[in-house]
Amino acid sequence: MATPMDEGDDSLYPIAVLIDELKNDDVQLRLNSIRRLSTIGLALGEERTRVELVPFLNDSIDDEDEVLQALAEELGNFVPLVGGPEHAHTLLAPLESLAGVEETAVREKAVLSLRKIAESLDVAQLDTHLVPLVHRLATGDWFTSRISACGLFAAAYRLNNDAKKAELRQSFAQLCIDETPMVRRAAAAKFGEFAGVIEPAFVKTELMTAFTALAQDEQDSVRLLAVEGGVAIARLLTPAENETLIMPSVRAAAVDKSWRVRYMLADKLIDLQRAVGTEITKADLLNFFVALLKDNEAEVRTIASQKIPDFANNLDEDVRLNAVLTLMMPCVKELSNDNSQHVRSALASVVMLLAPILGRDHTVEHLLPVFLQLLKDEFPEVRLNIISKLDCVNRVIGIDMLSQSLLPAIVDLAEDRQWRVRLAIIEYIPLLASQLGVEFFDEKLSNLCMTWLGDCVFSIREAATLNIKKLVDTFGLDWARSSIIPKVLSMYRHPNYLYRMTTLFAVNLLIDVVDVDSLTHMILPVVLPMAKDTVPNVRFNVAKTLEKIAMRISKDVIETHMKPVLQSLQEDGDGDVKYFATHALEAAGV
Amino acid sequence: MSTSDLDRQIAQLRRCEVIKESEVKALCAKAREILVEESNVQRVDAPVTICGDIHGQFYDLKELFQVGGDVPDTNYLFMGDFVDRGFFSVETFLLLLALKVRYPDRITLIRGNHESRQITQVYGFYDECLRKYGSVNVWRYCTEIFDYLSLSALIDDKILCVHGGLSPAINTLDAIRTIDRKQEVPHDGPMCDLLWSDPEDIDGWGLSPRGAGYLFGSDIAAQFNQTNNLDLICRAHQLVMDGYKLHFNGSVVTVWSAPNYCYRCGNVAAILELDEHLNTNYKIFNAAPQQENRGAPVKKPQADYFL
Amino acid sequence: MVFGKNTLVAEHSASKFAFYFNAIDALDRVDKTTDSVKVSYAKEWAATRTHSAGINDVIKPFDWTFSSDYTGTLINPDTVTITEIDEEIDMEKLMQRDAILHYSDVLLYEDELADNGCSIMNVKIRVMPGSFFILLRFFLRVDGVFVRVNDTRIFHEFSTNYILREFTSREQKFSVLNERCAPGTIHDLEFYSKPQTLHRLLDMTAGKREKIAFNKP
Repeated sequence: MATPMDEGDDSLYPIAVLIDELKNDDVQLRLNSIRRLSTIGLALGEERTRVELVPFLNDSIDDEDEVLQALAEELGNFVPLVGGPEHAHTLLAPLESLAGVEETAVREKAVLSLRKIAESLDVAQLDTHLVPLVHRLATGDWFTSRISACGLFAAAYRLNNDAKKAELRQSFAQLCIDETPMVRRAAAAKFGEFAGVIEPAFVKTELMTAFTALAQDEQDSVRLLAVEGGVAIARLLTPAENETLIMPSVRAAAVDKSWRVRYMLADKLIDLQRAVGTEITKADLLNFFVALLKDNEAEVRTIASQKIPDFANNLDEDVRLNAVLTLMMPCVKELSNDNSQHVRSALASVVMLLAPILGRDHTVEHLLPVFLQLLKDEFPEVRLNIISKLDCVNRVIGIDMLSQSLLPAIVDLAEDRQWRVRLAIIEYIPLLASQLGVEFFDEKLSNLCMTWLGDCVFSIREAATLNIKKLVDTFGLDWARSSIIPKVLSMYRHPNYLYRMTTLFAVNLLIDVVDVDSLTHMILPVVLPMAKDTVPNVRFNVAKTLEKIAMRISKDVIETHMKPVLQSLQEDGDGDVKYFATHALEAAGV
Repeated sequence: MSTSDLDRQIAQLRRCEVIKESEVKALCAKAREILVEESNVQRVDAPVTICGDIHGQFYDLKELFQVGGDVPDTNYLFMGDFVDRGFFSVETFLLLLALKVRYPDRITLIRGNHESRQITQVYGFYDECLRKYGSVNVWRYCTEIFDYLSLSALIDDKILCVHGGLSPAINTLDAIRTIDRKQEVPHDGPMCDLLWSDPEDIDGWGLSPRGAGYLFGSDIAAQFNQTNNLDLICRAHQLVMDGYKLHFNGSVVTVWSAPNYCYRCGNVAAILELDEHLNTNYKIFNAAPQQENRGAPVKKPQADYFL
Repeated sequence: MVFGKNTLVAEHSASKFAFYFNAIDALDRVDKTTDSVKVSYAKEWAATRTHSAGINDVIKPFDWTFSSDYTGTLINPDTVTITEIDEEIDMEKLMQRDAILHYSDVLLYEDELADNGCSIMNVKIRVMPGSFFILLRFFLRVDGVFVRVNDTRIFHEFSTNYILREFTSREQKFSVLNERCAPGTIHDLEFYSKPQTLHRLLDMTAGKREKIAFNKP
């Protein structure tokens, strides 16, 4: 890496030095000088940039791909440097060459820059400069330039001349049936974009043949890109037109022999559903969707499963419930037993969202059994996905029903061997507690919450302390004083320091929610003796906790009870204990 | 370098973001001051949680802390092989080193066979430094620090922790203490053995079929423990599918802390929690959930025209 | 690491003849009694050992590089006739970009050789409209010592009544590789880990071409 120069020096860089650097053997140096091109352009002025620098760059397009890529990118920002839009066309020549090179990354940057420059050109300049360039690239001998051409049609189409527009459409259509699959792939990828800028009348006529060709291409990589193009066209057409023009290709894609095409269709199905409207959805898409849910390939079933609630919600209200019950629910039941964990996992992450559509009774009858089954799935992620969406079901069937049917399963999962599953359950507890009420909680869940405080995994203990705090928020101080604080404090006697510290971590969170009296008379008397713990980690956590307690209690108590303890900790043999004790004393202001 | 600078760097590294080259240089200088004072047999007090190989699996190290608790609240001893093979050797080692500098009494780092100039040039750390910093300076700073890492640790005079195992040239802890450790890991000799040897179901000593490296049997371990009044030799170095493995009636244990090693071995990982009474408690953990596209299908490999 | 549940089976539905690729059969062909190769620093290491008397036993000597000349397991081999031939697989045909209807890459086993390199066996298949092609590859790198590639290529055109199978074993010492390629690549693990780019630098040490013809048309 060269030493960065002063900005002042940079502006004086003569073109000769640049040329020297661009010829240097060290790629890094050449790259650096490319990255400085705009500064050089600025120093040279518009005129010299146009007549000297750009032509020079045009001649030096024979370098490492890395350098060319940087050059292609830099040129996109050069319009102001060559004198604004009216001279922007002077930049097209080097970019045209770059758009034809072998390396994809270079070409992509060149096309991006060409599109950027095209925006600044007026209609007449497009006509005289960009359109011929597009035609040259589109008919280039080497397939790389034809690939680049595909990305420029939409930008070039902004013309007044009908004949030239027709030529562009013909040229694009030609690329859709190019002999090289890579070119057809590029055309398929840009199809939607181009269809979006041309007149709808021509979409239906001229471009339709090209689309059909792409959708029937021998390469699955082309056909799958055509799916997206199909969605783009469908948005522009009426339902009747869609029926005759687009749906045949959709039908073919739904039974394509390549799973990647079916995968793409499943992935785009919601967009397609919105584009073709409710009638075609009812008549056709619904059946395709059911078929995709039953596809042979797990990848397809996975992506289709993810779309279940969106697809159902987009159905017309008059058929929605019936379609979900009679067509989709049988699939859902089957998918909940799928061989692939990824399918079951995808299903578990969305299936709860069907509850609002089904309503209370159907949810209880049809969905609950599926939940219960997935809650027992051997793959933890499946269980996790169900738990994290439980609140959707709450709202539909009510907490009573939920607690009766799901509580046993929840209690089972509270002891799941995967700690992330336990964590998901803990995070759900405050919601459950607020809805079940204090009595039910004390009876059914209170013990669980205490068990988690002694969990072997730190994150569970940490979540359990946070849970305690939220429960105090929910059930109030009296409950905290009588039920929870004594239990939390009793852990200070644990033989293992990690669990003794859990008391301190819980106290740290409780400080903000309990009253001063409890703090002074229940909590402080337990924390202070812990300063004599044999393990330094406990002692410095006492110091940290005392620092927080000091913010809430009276100066008197601090002086008489807390200060002596902190002072003795300040004399501790352990460096960290000293550090945190000193910190606490300073913060307490004593 | 102030405590608040250090705390900021630690926060940054915990997010898996690298710190500046100049900060690495300062951090290593500070670490050297601390490590140079440590013995070849570094004394450590229980309670402490013992960890095996990490190998740059940063997100799995975070998972380890989620299971075992964070520094400084939980005390840790790492038995080497922080770097190589995984994608985040730089962040992993610098985080552990920064924690060491910030809390020298709470975390102990000893050397593994991968903490070496030669090995890191082959197995990824060198390339990773070059890729992430654009120069090999950070690699140079780190490998200089490797030379200062202790060779072993002794917990409450009863448990010896070492990366690989024993050496035929070493019968007593004092023999370890006399090694001049501040050098690249040599290809032979007692220092090499401590970082490379493996336990094996044999009597006495054996040679590895690879042509370098010792294997030691249960009698060797028993004799060493008796001579030095030890209860247990705790080591890492070899992948074990269940995260830990007891050898020789529990006189030696392998602890392995890189779950789903190399992102494909399918093993679980373990840490060994020793409480203040030297009770042992093995905690098993899995690889961190996929960072990206959680729940997305596992894509089939892209077809290529192989020949 | 042995991926014992990974298999690739290519079956001829009429005759039930099949190629069956699995790690256990592949590892069965590893030499279990000799340990010919030594790591790069073995000499240096052994030299300092002369005075640690009594430690001479090599424990369970075996080919610790897991080198295997496995070419796939044949199921129902009596339905075919195998002859050695000179005819090569036509690489031009394989370079045609015919559509790939099915593709799979299956890892059979892999080992780090205790940080002395890598040893890996995998099998890939691609099925085109008129043919299928399988490449079973064992790749070994002993750092500072040598590189070995054992390839088995299996090619069948559906229009024919036979399958071609080619086995080659190629290797090269690091000293020669270092001479033949640019300096500085010694750090370049990528370079030494890619059998396809190393290919032209390796010498062939063994090879066999076979025609596997179906007995019934």
